[in-house]
Amino acid sequence: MGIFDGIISGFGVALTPMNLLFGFLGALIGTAIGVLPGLGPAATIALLLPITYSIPSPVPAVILMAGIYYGAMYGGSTTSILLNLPGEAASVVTCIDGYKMAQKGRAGAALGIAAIGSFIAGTVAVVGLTLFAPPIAEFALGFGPPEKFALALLGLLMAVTLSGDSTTKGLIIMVLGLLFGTVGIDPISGKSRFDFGVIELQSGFDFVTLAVGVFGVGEIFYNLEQQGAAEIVTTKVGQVFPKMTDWIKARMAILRGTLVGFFIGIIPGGGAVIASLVSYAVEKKVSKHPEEFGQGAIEGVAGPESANNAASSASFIPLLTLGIPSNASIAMIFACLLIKGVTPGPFLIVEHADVFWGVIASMYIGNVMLIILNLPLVGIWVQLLRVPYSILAPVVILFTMIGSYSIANQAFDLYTLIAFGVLGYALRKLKFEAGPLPLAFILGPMIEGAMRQSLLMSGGSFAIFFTRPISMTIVALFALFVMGQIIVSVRRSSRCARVQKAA
Amino acid sequence: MKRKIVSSLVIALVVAFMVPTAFAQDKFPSKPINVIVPFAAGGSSDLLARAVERIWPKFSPQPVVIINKPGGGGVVGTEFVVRSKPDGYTLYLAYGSGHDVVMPHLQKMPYDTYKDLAAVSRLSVHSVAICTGAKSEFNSIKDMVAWAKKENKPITSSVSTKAGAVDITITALGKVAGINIVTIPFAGGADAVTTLAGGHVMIGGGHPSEIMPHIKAGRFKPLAVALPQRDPSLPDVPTLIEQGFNVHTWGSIKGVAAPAATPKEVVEYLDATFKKICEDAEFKKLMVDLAQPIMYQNSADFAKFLQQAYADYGKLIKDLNISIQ
Amino acid sequence: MSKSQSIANLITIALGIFVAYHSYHVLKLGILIIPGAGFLPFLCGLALVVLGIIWRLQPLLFKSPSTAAPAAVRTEAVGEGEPAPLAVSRAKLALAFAATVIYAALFERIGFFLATLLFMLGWQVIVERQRWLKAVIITVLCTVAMYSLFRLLLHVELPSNPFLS
Repeated sequence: MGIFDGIISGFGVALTPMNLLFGFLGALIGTAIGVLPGLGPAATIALLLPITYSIPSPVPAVILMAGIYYGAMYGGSTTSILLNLPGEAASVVTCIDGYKMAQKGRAGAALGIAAIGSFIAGTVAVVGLTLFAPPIAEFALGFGPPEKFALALLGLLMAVTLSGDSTTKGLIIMVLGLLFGTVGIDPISGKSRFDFGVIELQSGFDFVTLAVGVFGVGEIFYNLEQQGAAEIVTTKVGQVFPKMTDWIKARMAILRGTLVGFFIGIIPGGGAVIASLVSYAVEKKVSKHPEEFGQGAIEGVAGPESANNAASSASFIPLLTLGIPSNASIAMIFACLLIKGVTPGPFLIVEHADVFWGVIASMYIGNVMLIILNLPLVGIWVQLLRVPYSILAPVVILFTMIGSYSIANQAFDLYTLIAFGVLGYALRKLKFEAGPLPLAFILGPMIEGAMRQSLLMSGGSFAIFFTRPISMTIVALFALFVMGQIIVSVRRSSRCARVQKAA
Repeated sequence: MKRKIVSSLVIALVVAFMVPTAFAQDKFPSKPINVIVPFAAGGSSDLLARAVERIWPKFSPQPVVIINKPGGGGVVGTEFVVRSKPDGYTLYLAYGSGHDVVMPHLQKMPYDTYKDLAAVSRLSVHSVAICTGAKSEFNSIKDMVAWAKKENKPITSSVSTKAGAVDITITALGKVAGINIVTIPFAGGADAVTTLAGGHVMIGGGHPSEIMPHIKAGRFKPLAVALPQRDPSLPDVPTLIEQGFNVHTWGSIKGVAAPAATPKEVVEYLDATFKKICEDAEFKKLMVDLAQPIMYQNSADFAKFLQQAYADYGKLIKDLNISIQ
Repeated sequence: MSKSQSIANLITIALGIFVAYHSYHVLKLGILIIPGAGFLPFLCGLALVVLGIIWRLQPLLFKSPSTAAPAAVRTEAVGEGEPAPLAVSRAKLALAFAATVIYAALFERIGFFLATLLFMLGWQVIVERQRWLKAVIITVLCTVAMYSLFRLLLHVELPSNPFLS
């Protein structure tokens, strides 16, 4: 079946009332899940799996779950922008400029651009999926440990760009994040690190608990202290939708973010996070006003949000064409297909063409549904900020506690959340930019694991990073980026020295 | 006198009402049964559990509810079951996995795997199968060993976790064959198998359910299976023993357990239900789709089998000098 | 360098020393071609010490733009010289923190519903000094809403009251 015929038949499948209903349900639930911190799409999909048993065809089930998956991507940015609460790893970068925009009364613009960017990116990514899926998938397989090492290292470097003015402080935060990432059982040696006898620490910290604690709860603690007699400025709502100027600025950011997200998202594991990071760094580099970043630059929201949506759509490619799930949520969808007797893999497009094309068509439709769902909601979300802080603060804390608890059903996570909240508060007070922390936390284990795996593969030779084509390319990019940074900072300090001399 | 008669009548009536209700609640099961899977959703144990979940209502009035409790390589979820009420409403599925038969030899456990849990039924065995890429020059284990000896270079192999069932099996093979196999641990079975699919390592170990899609896609060549006899889900693949290498392990065993103090009748009921499920045609088809062999054993046999497997692993670990600290 | 910055700086350096020591002795560094479990933490520990020292010396050694020019570009909340009414809100923060910790402690012991009820009520009355009637109304509404959302709608597993079941 040619691509064109496939897509037409796919729409035929996806546009039946039952499948439309399931798609809508998935989008709705997914958005709700994304908005609620702690509740991830993977857990929700697992919960709803039994419901799909009674339906004979696998198509509605997969449509439902796929809807939940990228609905969560849309919803995750909402709390990032409004409350500095990242719903998942890929939304952390959105917090940085998104929350600042909300604080300046531009929450509506940020939410609007995030939704629109996500829609464009998601749709373009599905088109890419349609046209290029099999060859891209094979390319992704070529990413072994050395390549993953290089890519994650690149991502970490990009994370430094989030550190605001003081590079020293940014590096300290990054190192702290790396250290948090080492807590738990080291997969390569089997040793448990820094657990001090506490068995719950053997699995390490949970990302959501860390990010939500440091960003969200820490922010609340800080605000409570700052309030004093006066109320916080968050009551200033301002414009509900993006202005024309926002549009023009964000246009290119969305496009670049989509490309970055699509290509990085194809690689199994960590795709969306690194994609959002790279997008942010790229936007900052090409911007004519880089000092705006960190203060509420709309490109800092548009780029990463597009990138993470493109990445989540792209992550379906390894599943549908190779039968390899890239992350926990996709793994659940994979499980669902298996139980229904459909083996995802290279033969899926032949053996179960209706499933393959039906799912792809539903992704187009899903994106449309999500934008229809989310844009009007922007107005409602923004009203949320009008709720008095005396009610909002405890409710948000409750949400984060429940979310954290639901990860492993242990009270230990509640205490961890509070501890991270204290850390976040302290970092705010000490004028540290907390952005690099959760990112280093995620990237650290990737970098360390991939490096040690690579060295085992090569028998100890470091040449392996330079002799393979893909990793060599990434290392070269890395070197370029580092040199660029050094040149910029040397120029900046010499200019400053000249200014000071003249003064 | 009258008061005494009336009061004793009242007491008798009350007792008469209470006793039947007390017994009525004892008819097991009277509410849904929680089945704890101490691994992440989507993994091979989880898939097995969901297959069971699907077929279970055919043979029992109450459904099972699958709850994933990953962490600590399986210890967190298992400990949860150990500490739960022994009334038969909390079960552990995946009894016999790496953290049950391998880990206790290497580190201290927060519970006694064999004293604190009662074996209910064995459902499946996820053997360790060794594969290589389709383009690889190796067509059998002998080829691989010959190459390694000639080139005097190590063989790289991906494995799911450090000192897990797969790692131990492949390391044992290396020792028996007299060659150096470097095992590279990854973040679980899927990650390890994907790396082999990309051709980044020479061989890889995995369970049939993990490697089957790749074999079907023509990306993998299965070289051997590590069980004492051939694996029903890979009937054409010879065992290591058949190929002249005296190594066998039971891979990762998947059975069901209940807290040790669970009443005998409850365990018998559960065991009987699992037996019926394993004989059900629809379940058989599901398991073929999942590439997991059905290998049912009743409570007594399963308990004995586990002890044997545990001892076998202990011996291997001692011979190979494997340790973590 | 303000007092709190100074303390934080010393903590950073101390942490770095501890981590480096622990990595070296307990976790083992391995050799460069086969790094051990302690390799990365050791580097992190060293980095913390070095960065901590740079941090401390920075205002003295380097007159870089970030330390020289005051935060004119910054629009975020105030820095070192905080306004006076902080004593009042510090108490608020402390109470809120206490409420959160108590909630965590009670969560599994008395069940989600009751713990949430107490938390919200305590917050409204003690932290926010709300009037009793209003506080009770807010508390009940919020708790019921959250219960419906998480327990009934989303089927999230939350501890129920052990005394009731």
